Amino acid sequence: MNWSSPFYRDLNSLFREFDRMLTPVDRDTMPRVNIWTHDDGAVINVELPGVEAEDLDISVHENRLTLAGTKNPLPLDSEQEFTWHRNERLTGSFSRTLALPFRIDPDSVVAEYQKGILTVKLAQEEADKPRQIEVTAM
Amino acid sequence: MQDVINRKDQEVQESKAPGHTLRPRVDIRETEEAVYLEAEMPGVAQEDVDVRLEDGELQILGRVSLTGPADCERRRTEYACGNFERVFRLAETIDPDKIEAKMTNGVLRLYLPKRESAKPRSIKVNVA
Repeated sequence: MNWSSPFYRDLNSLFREFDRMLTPVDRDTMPRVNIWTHDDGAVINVELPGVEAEDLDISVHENRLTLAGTKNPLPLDSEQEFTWHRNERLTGSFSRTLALPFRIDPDSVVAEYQKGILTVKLAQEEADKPRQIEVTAM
Repeated sequence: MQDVINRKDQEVQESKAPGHTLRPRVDIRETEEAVYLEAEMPGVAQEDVDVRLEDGELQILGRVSLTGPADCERRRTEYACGNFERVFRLAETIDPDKIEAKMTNGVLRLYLPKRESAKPRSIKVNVA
């Protein structure tokens, strides 16, 4: 039996797979995401406070979405010596790849960065969408 | 060195806002002139930030007004949405009248300059 056949991949198993395929989160270095899906695609929100939009690099390939970027520490007003009292914010470069349960239409991807949150909207490739097949009575 | 900015023992007080209250991550750096505080509050707009100073206590509040997209099924939730709140105790050395606040890309930046009298002075030693 060929389990990879699309025949056996009903929607539920696709979404189980979707959850499993998401890269495990290293909460210390990976940006955290919230994901929603709808009939035609998905909406992904990424927590990225303090990042400049031009330091974000978003790419899609097949069913994968990669979010990469760099978070730089805020400079002080002048180059003075300083002492740390708290250092809880993370800085440096990050990269995270999410696997979605469908092939992404690259032309559909829209990314907006606002108030420290990146929102990526993407649609499923037309050819990958489930189709309703009419049954003709003979 | 004495801490110029201290966490309150009970840092997050009972919040009056409904829903979750989250503690923002902060960076605090001190120079000879001032203290710089950055608090991460993703999803908070500049107009929804409230910085209060009362009895030497600095309270940072950020209200989040965002919800998920409509007509969608939630698939994964790694971060909670809610208001941000954190309280610090400020040392007397900070001049409360000169505090500046700015919100950029979900990060609140506070500039807390020290009083003139608190800044270190170098004393010239005269050769007798």
